[in-house]
Amino acid sequence: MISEKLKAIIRREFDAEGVNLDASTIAADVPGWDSFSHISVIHQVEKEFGIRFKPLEIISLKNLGDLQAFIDRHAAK
Amino acid sequence: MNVSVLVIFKYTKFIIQNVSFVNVRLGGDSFSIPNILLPLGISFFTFQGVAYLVDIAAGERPFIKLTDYLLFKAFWPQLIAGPIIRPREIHDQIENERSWSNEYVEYGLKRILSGFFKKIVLADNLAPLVDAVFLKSASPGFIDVAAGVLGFGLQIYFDFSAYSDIAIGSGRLFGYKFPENFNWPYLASSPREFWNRWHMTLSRWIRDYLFTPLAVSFRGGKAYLLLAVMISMGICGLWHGAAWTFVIWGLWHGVLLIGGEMLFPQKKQRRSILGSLIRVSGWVFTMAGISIGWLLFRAQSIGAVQRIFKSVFMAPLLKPQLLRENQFLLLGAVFLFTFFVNLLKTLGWQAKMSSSQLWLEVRPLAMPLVYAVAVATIIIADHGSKAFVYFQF
Repeated sequence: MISEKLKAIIRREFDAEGVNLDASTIAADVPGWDSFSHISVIHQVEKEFGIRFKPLEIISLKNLGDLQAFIDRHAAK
Repeated sequence: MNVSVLVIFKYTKFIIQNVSFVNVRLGGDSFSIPNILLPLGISFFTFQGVAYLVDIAAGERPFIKLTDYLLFKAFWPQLIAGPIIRPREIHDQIENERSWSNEYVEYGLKRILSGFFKKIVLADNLAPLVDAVFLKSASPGFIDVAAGVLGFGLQIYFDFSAYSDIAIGSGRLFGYKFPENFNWPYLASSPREFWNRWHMTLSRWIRDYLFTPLAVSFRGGKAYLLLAVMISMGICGLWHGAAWTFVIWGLWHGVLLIGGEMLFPQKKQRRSILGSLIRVSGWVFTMAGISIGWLLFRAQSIGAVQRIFKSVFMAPLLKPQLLRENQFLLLGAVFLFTFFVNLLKTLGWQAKMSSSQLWLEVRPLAMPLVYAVAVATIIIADHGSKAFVYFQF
């Protein structure tokens, strides 16, 4: 499940009203999600959830599900 | 480890040259420069090796069998000049059994034929014209340089995408699906779009393994984002060759990327007249920027760029100094061919064609004819073919 907080970040960054956001959503599914806005999303996630990504962790993210799982693992601590 | 092998073979000479230059300036002696032969395809298989190590470290499944790994690292169709494959794209394909498929053979042969046509008929015939303009002893005028740069832009596209076609086609004959490397790059209406369409497997390598980790760890707002772009593109340039012109070429593309984002920010698809106007001006901006880039890319040294500029300002503006009428005619023909094929693509010709009744009736006769003409042209045009441009990288 993708949390409302994460969905809110994505909806704020992109005009993604009609786009279905679930665990299997990848960047290419969301109009405007490119390398620049990817950085912006990651930085907002870091700020709002109080976490920090290491370079390898960024590379391992394949879809929204991975991002949510990472947040769940780290934000709780 | 991976990268150090690349550095030793490809950049030793460049590094020693530069250290030596500085040393001479400081009053020392110049160093002797070793002559190191560059192993074919080293830039490509090194990057694919890095992709493997990083992806495995990031949690991807490793290959169990050594032979499977070696096939991934050194599969001959794409060993020398890509596409640069990520492990997850080919892992299952290597481990699972593949069977003969008529569809794959037909597709593979078509791609190989298209590659030979682009390389032997188009790229190799443009080469002499381009070489003449960039020759050390030449003094080209403005028209010559413009033709040379336009010609080189077409030559390198047909040359490199031909190699990719042949690689993808050969892979398909063996039942493998490789990622695409080109997607109509000269239709790009922004520099960012260009890199999403040109040498796509290198662009995403730079994006995923260099730009994104760099930009995320900088955490310092817009200025640092731009710095990450410039570093990534500078390294992208250096990857192409151990010379300052390539570094400047990469940095130039960094400037274009940033400039393109500021001038033509990508918002939702605009269908209005204003939207089309913005797209057309974005395309003109992109093509002009890329062409200036190709001048740097082809010139081989900073001195050569200076020499070309000097010569352009010395000669009369509109009078060709080097090229003959037939060379302009050839360039014009290839340009128009490219232009119309791209125009048809923009107008959605393929979708319309495949649904038209007339085409369905003509197709069984027309396609063999097209293939026969292509094969005949390749045979006629082949006067001892040249090596692919990207083999040197």
